[in-house]
Amino acid sequence: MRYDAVVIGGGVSGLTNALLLAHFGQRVAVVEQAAVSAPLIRGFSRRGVLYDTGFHYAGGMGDGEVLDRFFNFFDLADQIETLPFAANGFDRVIASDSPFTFDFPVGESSLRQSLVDAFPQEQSSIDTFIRDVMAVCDGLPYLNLHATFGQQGIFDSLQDISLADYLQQLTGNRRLQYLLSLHCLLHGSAPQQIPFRLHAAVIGPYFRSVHGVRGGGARLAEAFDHCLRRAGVDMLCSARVDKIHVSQDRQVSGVELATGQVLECRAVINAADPRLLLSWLPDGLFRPVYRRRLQALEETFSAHILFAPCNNEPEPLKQRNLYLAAVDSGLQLCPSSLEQRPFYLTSASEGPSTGVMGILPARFDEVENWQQSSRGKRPVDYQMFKQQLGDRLMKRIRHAVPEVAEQMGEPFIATPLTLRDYMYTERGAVYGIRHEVEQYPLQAATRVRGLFLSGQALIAPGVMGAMVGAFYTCGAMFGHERVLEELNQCS
Amino acid sequence: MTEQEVINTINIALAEEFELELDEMQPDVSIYEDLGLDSLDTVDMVIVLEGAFKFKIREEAEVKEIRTLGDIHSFVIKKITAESK
Repeated sequence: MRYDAVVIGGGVSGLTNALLLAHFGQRVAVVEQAAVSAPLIRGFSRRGVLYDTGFHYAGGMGDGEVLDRFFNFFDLADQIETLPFAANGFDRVIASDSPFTFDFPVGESSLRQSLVDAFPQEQSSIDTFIRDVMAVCDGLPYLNLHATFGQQGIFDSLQDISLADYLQQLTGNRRLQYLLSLHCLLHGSAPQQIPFRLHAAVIGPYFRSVHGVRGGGARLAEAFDHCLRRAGVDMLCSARVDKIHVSQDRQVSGVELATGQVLECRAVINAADPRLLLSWLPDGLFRPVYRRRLQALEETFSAHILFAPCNNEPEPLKQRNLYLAAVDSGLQLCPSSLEQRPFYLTSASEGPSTGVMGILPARFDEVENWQQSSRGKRPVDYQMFKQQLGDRLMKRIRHAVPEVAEQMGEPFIATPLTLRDYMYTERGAVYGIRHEVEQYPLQAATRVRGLFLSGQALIAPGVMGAMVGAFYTCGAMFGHERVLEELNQCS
Repeated sequence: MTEQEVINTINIALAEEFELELDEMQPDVSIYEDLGLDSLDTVDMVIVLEGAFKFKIREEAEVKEIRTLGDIHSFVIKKITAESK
């Protein structure tokens, strides 16, 4: 088969890249290792309950906001119905270490007021935080269409400070620091690692509007499938890349699958883990220093996830999420104690739902003992580990929100091993490769002509980061001005 | 470190990491035209120098001005001299 471009990885980033390339008139194929496209956001059904593993709520879906513009651009918007979260508190924090609760309301001024009510001494640091976050959002090309696309300095990101350093300079109030770092769960990196700039880019849109999609991530995945079919993109699932073919003059010429089938093409976009490139390419194409940079990349956190069916949708989870959190435990996302990690509770899917999910950040090390085992063939001691984990998580739910626990049936558990095996990541990362302060950013172009990087590793994590990354990659291929002009015409 | 030692360290590090021949490494060669680096290599060049000298390079404007291997030598020598003061 002959294509103009082959996209490796059929997650949100890969699918967005494919739609964009098709928009620019390219004949495109997407290669995805899982049996379906976008396995993380698609989730799964068990006993009639849809569990939305990857897309729970998003900022920037209000009219004219960033995701709304992207969805409109690809006609995805016609396929989905957005549902607003509770304006007076889309996220409720329930402290496990003190009698404290806090509701994050929608809207910058409401958020400011709620924070000032909770921390009356901290008015000026709260103002500074909200102003700094929104300034970052409004300054980013593609997040704000009116931001200028200046010469992007390769050193800009080295000026970054970590979220933890930013918050420690902002205020001495540890509980406020904790609350303002809580949404690290939305990008999967610890406050000490994530640059403040990226944290702000991820959470800022949530200060303006918060929505879910009726039917959850599964609906969004179906909408992508529909638009890809209409755009004539070939979706190759259960397909594994074996090699990328490169001609003598360092130009991409094709992608060879594990079956031996070769997809001839002039461009390859790797929306999967950038480290995988090294195993697909002939030796010697990249400089040793670039190879080491790729090899040194590390993944974001993984998760333990608890799923349970419910008799009725629990009242506290209607239009909102809960964060059970040790708010006085200091700035950390994944401390060794399970009880001190933030525990995110949400309805199993958006719309009337009869299930609950709880997501706890986790490290692959915690299940490393069983890494040789595969799906459906795990040993007994792993089952016992999951049983104990489930008991500890249920205990937290019963303690913080007994009315939710009462509605829940027998829970079942996914661990980083489950995530690794369903999403084909190396260590079960929820948000792909980690972005860190002091790290040189990856560029979309590589030294091989026609070979580009995309995915969450390129610009930012999450659905929005994955989509923005796709626009950057296509900008590197066709020129940013041209891509922005197309996007502007549709807004 | 003497200036010659600095120059040798730079040449060895760049030759190794960019797979160049040491005898090509003359001060007047253009790193772009003669050594075949391109704009994508700028970041990697900075990383190599940072690794070789254990300093942080933040002088974006000066790095952008670099054209020849000799420019790299003077940039590093100037930086080391400034930092040792």
